[in-house]
Amino acid sequence: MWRYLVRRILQGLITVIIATILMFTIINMAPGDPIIFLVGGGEAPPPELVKQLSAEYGLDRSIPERLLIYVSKVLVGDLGYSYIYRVGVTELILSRLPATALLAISTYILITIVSMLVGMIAARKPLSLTDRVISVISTILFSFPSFFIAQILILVFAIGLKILPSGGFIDPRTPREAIPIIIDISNHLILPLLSLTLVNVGFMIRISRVAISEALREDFILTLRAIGMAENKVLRSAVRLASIPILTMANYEVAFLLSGALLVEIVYSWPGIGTLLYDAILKRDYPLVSGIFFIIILFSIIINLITDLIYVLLDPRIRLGKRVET
Amino acid sequence: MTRLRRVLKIWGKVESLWIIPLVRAFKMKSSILSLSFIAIISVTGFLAEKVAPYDPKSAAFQPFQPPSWDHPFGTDDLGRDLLSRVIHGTRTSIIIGFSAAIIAMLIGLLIGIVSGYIGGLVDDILMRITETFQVIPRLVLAVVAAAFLGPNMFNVILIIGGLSWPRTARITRSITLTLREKPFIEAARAVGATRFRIMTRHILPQVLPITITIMGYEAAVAILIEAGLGFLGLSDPQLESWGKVIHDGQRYFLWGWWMALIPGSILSTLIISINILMDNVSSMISPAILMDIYNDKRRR
Repeated sequence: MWRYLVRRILQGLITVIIATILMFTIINMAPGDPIIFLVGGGEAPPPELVKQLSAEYGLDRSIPERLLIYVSKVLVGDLGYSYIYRVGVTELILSRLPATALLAISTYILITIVSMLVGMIAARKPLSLTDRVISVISTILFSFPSFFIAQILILVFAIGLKILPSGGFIDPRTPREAIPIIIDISNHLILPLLSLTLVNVGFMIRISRVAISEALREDFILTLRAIGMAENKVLRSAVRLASIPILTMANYEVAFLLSGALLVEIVYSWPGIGTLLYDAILKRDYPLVSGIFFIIILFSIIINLITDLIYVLLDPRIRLGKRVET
Repeated sequence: MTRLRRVLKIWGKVESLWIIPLVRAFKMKSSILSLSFIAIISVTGFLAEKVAPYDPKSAAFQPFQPPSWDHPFGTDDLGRDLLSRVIHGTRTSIIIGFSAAIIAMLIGLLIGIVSGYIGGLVDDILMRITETFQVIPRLVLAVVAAAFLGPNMFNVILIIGGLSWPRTARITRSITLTLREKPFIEAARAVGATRFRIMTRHILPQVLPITITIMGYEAAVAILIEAGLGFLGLSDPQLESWGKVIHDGQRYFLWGWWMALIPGSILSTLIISINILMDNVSSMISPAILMDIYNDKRRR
């Protein structure tokens, strides 16, 4: 088990290094002076700054040396400085992280619950009308771009019915007390949460339908039915068995959920990493763009590692040294 | 005569691998419906100059007009005809989607077959790289690359294509692994066929139908990523594309829903059509593969 975990952690480290090399290649392939990509577009940087950065990043040295400097900087968590916001990139991203985390975590929970319930309904009678309708709806849902669903929801609930705010995080008129603030934030959360869930739930419904119908084919289900257990209880035990693969897949999906969140955030001007990325692109704040890239990669790797860890704890076969994947 | 026999033999193979599943898939109503939508969209896009009622760049009308008989899709913030912009954007989006998917398929086939057939250290290294690309959300990496390298059409195609190969590579590799042990490959090896010949003449034709199906799915994702990039403001300034139209629509969303929602719904319908068509085709080729495609961990 320990060997397995150590290997997974090493693999995560390799991913970070490959991603850093990728970023370095992109910076060096890009047209124009690399200094621009350290400072950001807009006005020309003062000569002292150019000199200081050239020395710091070794811009006059050979490419392998520069790669080494760059990789070591990223590995110790130095993502650079945003000369447009005049703050360190890491600090800036961390200040925007809570909003994105709130959105992503609540979506994750909602998706897991909904996809298990719907998957259960679909798997109960395979190829029935209900099953086919669910399958068509899930195909349609995962074909939608996230921003499109977000825009439709705004049109219906914010502009049409006027029951929910069309964007933002918190109303400035809300009194600064705990309970009104929580209510206000949840009001603002509903639409982004719903959009992100709708976009990502289709795929998870398919996964859980397959997992649950596979579980229903196990021998012990036949036994349970034979001894006369109520169908609902039988289903419940099938779901319990299927929950391991479903949760694993849901965790692997979190990274993609994050990238969907980026687009949804922009539609709702949700003050998270997505809107930060949008501003960074518009203002050509290149250090910030690459910083966001690294943070998202880091999160994807950490989530994957946690998933592997949970899997090891849940599935004894891995603990005994067998591999899951080919 | 021998030549004719060889042609017939190859045709037999083509028929069993390609024609029969395709014919079966295309007998389904949903396939016909999706295919006709894809065809209409592509033809309109490629004949953009002839079909579009106005010049997409001329800001000749009153801005923010809702859909009407003169402007079925309305006009945008600068007073351009939205229908003409969408029609011109179609071509860009479709070219980007399919070129990127073809690039992805070629890279995926190369990596998958080499990795699966040669095995050993080569396989290990290639699979580690593939896993890295699968962990990184494609859209995020595409955003970074497009922001740094410049979002012209050529770059966007290369970026999306260069990021979309892992799924093809993984599935090709797993099929190659099972093929490698089959008697006909062993026979070819015994006769003295080189590795290159076995990979190109014996394995490639067997994996091709499935990889082309995956290519269809990847084209859908590529079109979505182009739209996502455009939505973030990363699109070719010289060209109309759906991403760009939707980006402009989002900026003025509260002034008029049609600027974002009409192009968005056409985009969504195209993606749905491609996905349904590909679902039908791949379920005919092999139901097991369909499950593989869904179960393959990472999607976007």
